Amino acid sequence: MLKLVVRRLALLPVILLAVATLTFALTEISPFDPVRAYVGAETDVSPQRRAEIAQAYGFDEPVYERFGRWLGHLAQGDLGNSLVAGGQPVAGEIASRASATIVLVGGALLIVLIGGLFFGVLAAAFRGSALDWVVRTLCYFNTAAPSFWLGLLALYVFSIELDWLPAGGTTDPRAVDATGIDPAHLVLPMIVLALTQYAWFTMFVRNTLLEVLREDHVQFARAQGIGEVALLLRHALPNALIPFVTLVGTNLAELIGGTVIVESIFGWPGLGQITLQAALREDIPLLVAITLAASVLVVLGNLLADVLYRVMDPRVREAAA
Amino acid sequence: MSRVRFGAVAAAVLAIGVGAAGCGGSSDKDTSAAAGTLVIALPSQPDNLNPIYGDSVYEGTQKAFNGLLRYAHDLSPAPDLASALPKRSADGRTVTVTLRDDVTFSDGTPFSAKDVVFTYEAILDPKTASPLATLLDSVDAVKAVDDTTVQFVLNRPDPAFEDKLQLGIVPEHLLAGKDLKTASFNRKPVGTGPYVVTEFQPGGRIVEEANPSYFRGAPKIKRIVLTAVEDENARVALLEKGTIDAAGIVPKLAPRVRRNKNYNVYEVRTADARVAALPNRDPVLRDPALRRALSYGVDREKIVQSALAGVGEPAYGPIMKGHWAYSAAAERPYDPAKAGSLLDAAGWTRSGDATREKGAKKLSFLLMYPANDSVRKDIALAFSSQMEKIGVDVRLQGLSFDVIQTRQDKGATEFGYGVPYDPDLELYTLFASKFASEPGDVADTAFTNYPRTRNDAIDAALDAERSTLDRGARKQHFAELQKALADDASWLWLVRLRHIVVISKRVQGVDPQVEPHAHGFSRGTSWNIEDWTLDAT
Repeated sequence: MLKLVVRRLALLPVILLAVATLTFALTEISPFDPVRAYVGAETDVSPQRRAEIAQAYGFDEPVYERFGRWLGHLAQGDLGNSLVAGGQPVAGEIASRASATIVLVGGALLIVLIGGLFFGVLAAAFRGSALDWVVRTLCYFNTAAPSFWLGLLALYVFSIELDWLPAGGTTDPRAVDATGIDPAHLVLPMIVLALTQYAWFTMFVRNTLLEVLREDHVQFARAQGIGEVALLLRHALPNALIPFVTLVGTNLAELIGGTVIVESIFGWPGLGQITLQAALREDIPLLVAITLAASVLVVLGNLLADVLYRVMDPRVREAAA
Repeated sequence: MSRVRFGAVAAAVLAIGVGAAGCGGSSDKDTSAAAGTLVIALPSQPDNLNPIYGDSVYEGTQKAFNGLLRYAHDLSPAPDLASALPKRSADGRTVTVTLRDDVTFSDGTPFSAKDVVFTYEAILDPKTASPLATLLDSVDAVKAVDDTTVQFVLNRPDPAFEDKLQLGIVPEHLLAGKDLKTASFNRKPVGTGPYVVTEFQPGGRIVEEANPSYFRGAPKIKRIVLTAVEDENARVALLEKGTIDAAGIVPKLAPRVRRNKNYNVYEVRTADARVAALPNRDPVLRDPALRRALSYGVDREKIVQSALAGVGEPAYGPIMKGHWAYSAAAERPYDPAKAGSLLDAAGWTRSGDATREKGAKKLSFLLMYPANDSVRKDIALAFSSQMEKIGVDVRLQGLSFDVIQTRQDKGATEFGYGVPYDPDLELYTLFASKFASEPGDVADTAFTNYPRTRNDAIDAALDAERSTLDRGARKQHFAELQKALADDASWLWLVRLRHIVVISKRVQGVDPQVEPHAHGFSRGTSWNIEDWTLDAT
């Protein structure tokens, strides 16, 4: 297992370098004009001054030169400065926004896990019943509904029409201290983000359980007269959970990607919100740093899942040893 | 066994989630400070609060800085950090400004002439990359004569220079020798203004508190919070919920807010026009006769009614009605019959209600507008249905400016322009031949002179109006300019907006100036915010 961890971590720099290279290449071929984004379309900036602005920021340099300079600064631990963040250091901008995104993603992951497990088990336990049908239909509906639509719908229903929850931001703007996150403000964005992944998990749990229930050892247990509930919870579920763990790693990436839309809808001051701006304004240092941070999270998340998989499933452990 | 381990994982995830959420919590402990707070919603958070990086001279939401001059309510220049109006030399090329000697920055450092010199030199320095540099292209040098006297040496007698003395002055002692592009000052600014920025939450809110040592006396409203609400419907919803106290809204949502008794709805008159640029290289629009005909075919009153819910006024040219430089003679009033006969004469003939044709070619062109702007979309739709009536097919496309600029010569584009100040500030770069780039130029994508107009009459009028300080003569040259623009018709003016600003009835003292082209809660409304008062709830 140590070998697996070392091998994966050794691969991490290679993955990050590839991601950075790809991000630079993509911004090069994108149609966005950083100078236009910088001065705005309807401002009186002469062609000469535009050229000077491009030069001051290095927008006019070939992409490989910018990449080389970025690598050089990175070697000194400097992620550069972000245009979108008013020229402030990228590291500071990410640090100040990271906690909002981590809380959002962490909370959504929790909802996905618990909700998916609960409703998946429920649907499997009562397979073929009306309850199973309701859970499945809601899952299909959820899969078909795009997150921006769900987000707007939730905003209008729960914060505007019903006035139960606040409509965006991490705290009330009037509050004297707005450094933390008000739980009431967290509810809607967290649930909407969770809904982007929830249906997959639920259906996965249900289907895996049904498969495991058909396996020999479960049939054997049933033949011994063990009750259906105990059968499901003690014999089928532990085995169904093993692949479930690996899915957590993969879907962490999906949840992180989902923050771009969810944070924009709810005015959530996290990393997803600024990712879009960084992309539209060709703020390469910020865009690359966020992409790298997300890549690290995904790699580590997958690694954690694989390690857990080995811990939990003796067959894999022995095969790897 | 495996179940236990999974439980441990879930507990760990739970701890991350709850632990992080636990550090928050709503804070209603100090309700008095919250009650004395005015919350203003902007469409987006400004990313940089340094006035050197203001995207134009017209934005003025934040009040942490002062210029040498400011606009009085009637938009005449008035002293701000200057102790009197500036003096010009006989040739108009030396401008001397005397400064107040009783002003300090909010960190306690006295303000002096060296701060003014630093600010103007920083904007002109190409390394600063300030978007305001073009505005100061008439400045050759700026010198501190003594602590309270500054002299500007100009390369021409710039008649609009007083307007350029309104730029916010930054403190030299905090910025000298620094790379301004990356200065932490950009988000923690220190100025002389009535408000001091005390909090900048990236992506969240900006908090400004009253400056107790402001040289005109501390403002009455003690705390202003600027929060970004991008969605236009959400801004109205937040007003109705009482989460925010003030916001700019779009016309079609105004009736809904008017029904709410807690708010005053201001229709602020503006110079902010919506205008279609008709590119001189488009295969259809290149013909001036055709362009003139289109102008006669637009029922601008009707566009105001249908697209702006009646809140706006027709626009016939670059200078708004009522401005000293406005010339009524250049107006082309709605005359569909004349539009039709001009189109017939240009060879675009029509049978019945069909689209006009010249040979096998249909009279059809593309109109692009920024897709995220619902007001521009409504105006474009109204315009297109007017054009249909005179047999012209206008295809509409909502795009981003990044894409629009790659199609500069391939169709018309709806822009927003207009200042109620000196027209030279904006019109020269919009219309002069020398600001028309050639396709393939390094700066091919520049938005100055977007239709690539090259017209001698326009150039002559522009050069004449900026060569003299005599207002009577300039009025005459601006009249020539408006006539020449109407003849050339590369720009098709449609309407001027009124900005609809909603402010809580608790706020007293709101008295908006005529506003420039702006987005959200702009300078003309907030110009005297330091004099506003806020009633207790």
